[in-house]
Amino acid sequence: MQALIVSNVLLWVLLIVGSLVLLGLIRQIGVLHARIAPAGALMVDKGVEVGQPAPQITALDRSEQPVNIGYAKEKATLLFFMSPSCPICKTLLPAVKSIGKSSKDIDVIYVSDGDPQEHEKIIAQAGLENATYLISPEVGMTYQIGKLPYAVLIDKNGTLKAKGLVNSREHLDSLFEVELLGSATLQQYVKAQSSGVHTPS
Amino acid sequence: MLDPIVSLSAALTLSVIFASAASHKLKHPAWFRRQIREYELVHKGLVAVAGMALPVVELVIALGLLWRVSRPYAAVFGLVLIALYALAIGINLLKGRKDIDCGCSGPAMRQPLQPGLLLRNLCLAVFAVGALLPSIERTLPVFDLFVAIAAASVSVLLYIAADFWLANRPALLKLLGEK
Repeated sequence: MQALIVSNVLLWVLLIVGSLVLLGLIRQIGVLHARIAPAGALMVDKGVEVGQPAPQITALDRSEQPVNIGYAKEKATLLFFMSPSCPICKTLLPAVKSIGKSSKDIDVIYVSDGDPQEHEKIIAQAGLENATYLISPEVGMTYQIGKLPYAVLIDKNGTLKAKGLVNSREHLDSLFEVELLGSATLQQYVKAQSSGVHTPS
Repeated sequence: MLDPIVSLSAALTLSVIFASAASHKLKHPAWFRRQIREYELVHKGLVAVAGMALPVVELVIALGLLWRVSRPYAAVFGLVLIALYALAIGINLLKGRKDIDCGCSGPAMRQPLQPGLLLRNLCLAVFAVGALLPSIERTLPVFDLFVAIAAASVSVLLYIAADFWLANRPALLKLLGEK
């Protein structure tokens, strides 16, 4: 009787552990799916081409200070186009913030539009009180941003170095590598990659 | 007549599932209201009321399932709620609105509406029926309690795993270009 009880308890414990492992595995598959989601590979990209001088525009930030975009500066600039109504933008904010913190030679500018109250909320949530945060649809129009979240990298001389729709941290990081890969945009790179890869079915 | 172990583990499983469903709805009220609006079944003026009432009802059901006296009543309400959710999903599926978020498992886990979700609700209904049916009157020794709790844990874990699996399916189909 004792042996049966011990065996039963042991089996239950092992079954729970087995279920946990199964759950972990399936969860990992979900994370993998989120990571390999295509970066809008078929998107028609508009606006200034990579390698050309970035459009020059001046906009006011939240404290009414003018911010110059596209001019030659001491540091490179990362423009992050977002909106409080876009959920993926929110999930990317920590990653954008960490890029601003970790690299000293990049200025991060958040370009947003939409309802002013929503901005206050998102700024408080993401801790962007000290960040350069523009509420300016004009900047988005100048750069012809059709989809969000979108990021544009401009170097010190005011040349547009990389741009693309960013859906994950990997996409964001890859903006900095786009130059090395020799593709004009992240989208082109993804397209070139996927045309060469045979998809198993 | 069911053995009390079966009814207890079914009730515990359902209780945990309802409690977690209520918790993510209460934690993200704005998200849940938008979700109700997306289903387009509740009148605009009632969205705020439904957004508050549904998680509270879920929480009450989760608590009610824990005690023997209230269990059958809570299970009936649970069954009705599960059927209502299934109906809401079914109506939207019939309308062909497969692109809206299910809103089933919180904002962190998005998944589009799909027929598999009806199967999921059927499985929940089985748990509710298990908790609802009368059980044999007998006192539960410690070992029986252990078995009931262990069985409930395994059921909850497998339920969550199945939920993840369902959520992954559309992503896989999209990747293979079959959607």
